[in-house]
Amino acid sequence: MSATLPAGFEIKGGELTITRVFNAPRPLVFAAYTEPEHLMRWWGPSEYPMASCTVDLRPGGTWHYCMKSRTTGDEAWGIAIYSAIEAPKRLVYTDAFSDAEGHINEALPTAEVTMTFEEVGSNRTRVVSTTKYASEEALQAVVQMGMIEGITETMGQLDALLTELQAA
Amino acid sequence: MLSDPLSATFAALADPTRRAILARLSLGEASVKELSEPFQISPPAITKHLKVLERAGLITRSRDAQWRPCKLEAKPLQEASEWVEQYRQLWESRFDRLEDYLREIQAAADTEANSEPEQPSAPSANARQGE
Repeated sequence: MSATLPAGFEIKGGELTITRVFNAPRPLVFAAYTEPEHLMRWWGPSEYPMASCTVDLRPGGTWHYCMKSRTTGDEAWGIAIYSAIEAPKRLVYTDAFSDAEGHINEALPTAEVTMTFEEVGSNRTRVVSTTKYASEEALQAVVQMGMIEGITETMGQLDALLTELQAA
Repeated sequence: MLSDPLSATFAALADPTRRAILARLSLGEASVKELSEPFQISPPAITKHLKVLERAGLITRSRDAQWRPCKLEAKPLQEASEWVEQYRQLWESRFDRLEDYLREIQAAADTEANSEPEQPSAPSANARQGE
């Protein structure tokens, strides 16, 4: 029952937080996260690379992008609406699904994402991503992840046992 | 994504007593009376928590026996746990890609400036300071 969360990952007060230190100076990391030429090269997963990306970096401005499947050609459009920008320290945006025209898909959940970029020494940067979903009280629940993991682990063992019994 | 059944699961799990009830039920079925003992909460209060857990599909209560034992249902908990894990993996892989990309562009910048034999990270302005 004492399963712990992986390093750099936290669930606190309804927010999911993930941290990583990068071996690069802060202005470069911030640029990589906010400039289309950079985003085009890393934001999309390898099987879903970026196909288009526009950024209007100002409060109320949007970051609109398309990721396209290498195998099926399916397009996945996303949009972020910036609410606060403190270059190169902090960035707050609402993350949503959209279409090619930039209309938000209201049927899917949106999240508020806060990115902070802290200098670590002269040449490293700690990036903290905090995601807050609309149903805050919902996520508060997972504070005791250790317990949940403990239970699911037990249940996983039960599942395995049931599968074995059925196969026999 | 936070679909409705998941929200119900998380909301039900938000209460420490309910989490403790689930932990107890992970050891086996129990009656309301048995559940109320370790928590020093009245059976009616326990019943209230059980109703929330039942609505969220986290437990079921047998209708066969008079004492209606409570039983833990694994599926919603697994889904909640999987959702959090998916979220974590999404960001881990995103950060992995950013890490690779930053390494790549910095290596490219170093190659361009390789006429300088010094450490590329040492700013020349600082090196001169205090002289």
